[in-house]
Amino acid sequence: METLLPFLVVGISVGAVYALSGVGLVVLYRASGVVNFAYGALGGLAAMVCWQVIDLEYEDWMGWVAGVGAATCLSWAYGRFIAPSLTHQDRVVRAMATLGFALMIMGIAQWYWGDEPRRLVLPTDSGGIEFDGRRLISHTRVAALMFAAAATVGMLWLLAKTSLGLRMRALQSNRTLSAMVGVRIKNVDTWAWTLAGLLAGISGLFMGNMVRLNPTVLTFLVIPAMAAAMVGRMNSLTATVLGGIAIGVIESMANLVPGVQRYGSATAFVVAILAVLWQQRHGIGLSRDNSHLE
Amino acid sequence: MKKTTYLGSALVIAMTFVASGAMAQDKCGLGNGKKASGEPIQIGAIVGKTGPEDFSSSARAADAYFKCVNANGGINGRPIAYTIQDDTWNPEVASQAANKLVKDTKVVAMAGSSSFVECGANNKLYVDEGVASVAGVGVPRACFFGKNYISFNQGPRQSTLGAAQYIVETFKLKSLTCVAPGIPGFGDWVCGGVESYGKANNIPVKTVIFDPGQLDGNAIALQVAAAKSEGVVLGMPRGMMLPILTAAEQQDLGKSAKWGLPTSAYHADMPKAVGKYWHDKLYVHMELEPMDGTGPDNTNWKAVMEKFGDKKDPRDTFSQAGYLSARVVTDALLSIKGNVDRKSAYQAIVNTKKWKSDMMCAPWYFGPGERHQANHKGRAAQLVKGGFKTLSECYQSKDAELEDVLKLEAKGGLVN
Repeated sequence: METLLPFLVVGISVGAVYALSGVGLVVLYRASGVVNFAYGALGGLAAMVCWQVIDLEYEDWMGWVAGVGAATCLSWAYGRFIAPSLTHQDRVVRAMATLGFALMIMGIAQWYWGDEPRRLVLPTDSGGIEFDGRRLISHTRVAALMFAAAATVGMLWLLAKTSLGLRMRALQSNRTLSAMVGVRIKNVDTWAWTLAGLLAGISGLFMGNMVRLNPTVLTFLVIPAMAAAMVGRMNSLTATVLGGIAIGVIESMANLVPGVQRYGSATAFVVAILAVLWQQRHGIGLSRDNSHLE
Repeated sequence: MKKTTYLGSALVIAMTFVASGAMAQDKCGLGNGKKASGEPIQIGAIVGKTGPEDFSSSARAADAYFKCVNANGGINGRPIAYTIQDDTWNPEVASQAANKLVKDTKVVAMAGSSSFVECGANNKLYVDEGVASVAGVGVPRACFFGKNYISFNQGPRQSTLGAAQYIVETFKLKSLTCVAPGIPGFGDWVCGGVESYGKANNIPVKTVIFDPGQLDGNAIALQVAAAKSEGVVLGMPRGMMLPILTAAEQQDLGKSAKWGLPTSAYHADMPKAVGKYWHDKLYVHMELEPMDGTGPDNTNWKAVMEKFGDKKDPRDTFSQAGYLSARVVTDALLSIKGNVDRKSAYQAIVNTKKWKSDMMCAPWYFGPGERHQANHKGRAAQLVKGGFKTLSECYQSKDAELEDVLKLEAKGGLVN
């Protein structure tokens, strides 16, 4: 147990960031029907901007705000100016458009910042929870867990209790009818993109700190996040969070199994495939498909 | 008065730099200051630029050197046309790129390559087509076991072992952990060198091979902590080291073990990137001369990069290696009496021996045989605040895999 516990805790904390990212993907998908492949790239951009501001010797908090702000603004701009022109396109086309957006962000970030060694340090790195005389988990990872929990609860509350959430749920149910009863689709979509950008920015800061400060590496953060969202059928926030944490824990525990440890990154794919197969077997589909009504 | 003195000193220093730079730049190729013209001589390189890490530093330095050669008379008047292809860390792309360079562009030789995948994919092609490849940086095992392929670096196996040797012998360590990514032909091979060294010296070595796609360095740091070794070596590119070092810092593992890193960590930005916790705690193996070395070739490398390179081009060991590979190829081509084509270029390159540079611990040679490893001596440095402190003179890698190379050298004629 002494050996397992650190891996379990580390897995939960990384899984929390996957979950946080998955929540951002699901919220956007529920409101606008778009699978956002640019999520990781937005997170990567947030981390790089944050590092740049701190490297220029501004206050840390300015870096965090600038990073998260950059991701949020870019996501808002996509939702406000590009996404509406694709509304009547096929779902696959809209998803592919976000992939193009991701490659643009990644390419520009890679060109500007290159591949030099750098690191995003957060003040929470220096402290942590001790167990058996050893650091079990850093405060940064505790913060990631708390953010994931807060984001999930906050999004559930937003969807269930606010008028914006009501309009999002209406769009998820039927976009055409929602428009006929006065829901301003563009407005709601833009809000969904903005929230997704905000969550991508926060996830990016955590991953830039915990994983690697590299725009290309962070762009691929979207893979485990997407797998977590698939577990939640692109619909259930709670299942998405559980899926994200499960991926993080399995990935971490795989390190204890000789021979399996070098294939840990396949965890996201395996979990997503098993989840989809299980859902199909039990007649559970993706979030309600309303594309035929658009 | 004081102000004037400072200004005067600054001017003298600046003029000295300019003068030494100009002198150093003149040393490229023929060094006659005349722009080369006429039919270009085609040379190619394959690098892993797009992918998990940018491995193009070597070819960028070679490119700068060839530009300098072209501005200084070229190869007896003919300019070098240097084409760099990105293999995107994909063996299929590497193979396509090599075929394009060898069969379509008709390169006379390859210089400055640096890739994780191209050696395995292209060694046979180079042999079949009679192309010599003087790479800047060889990475996986295949780069050191190709008949027509040689590089200027020692390779990750020798360099990781070099770091391990230094910390074991300096601090009398009794156990080691070697960490490397599970890339085919890389991780097991790299840590295999440390394992065989450990076996020969009764030092237990625990090997941790991790999935390079794994996002979290903490799980790796936990395995290192569980091993409770007195020394740890990380055999991997520097980008992969950082999350592991970050996680190890959070576990405070810098105090409980001595840490050794291969030459990939010898980069000007590393001290800042790893943070102050690691200052004075990391021992880095250097495959070539320290970057601040004042030898004529090292000075020339810096001057060439300044004038013909891009500001963003890294100034690291791999850049030095790319520069050296371009120099060897240039010297070989300049030695050809008659037409410069693939056949004559091949002969000139493989016949290179006793080639000396202050940037290397021993003379370089291509050598006969089915495989080549001319560089197998390096130095150790300590990562300190703001840079690196050189700690040792050149020392020989104690890798059992070098037995054939050392026997060949002992016959004489290649290095002395």
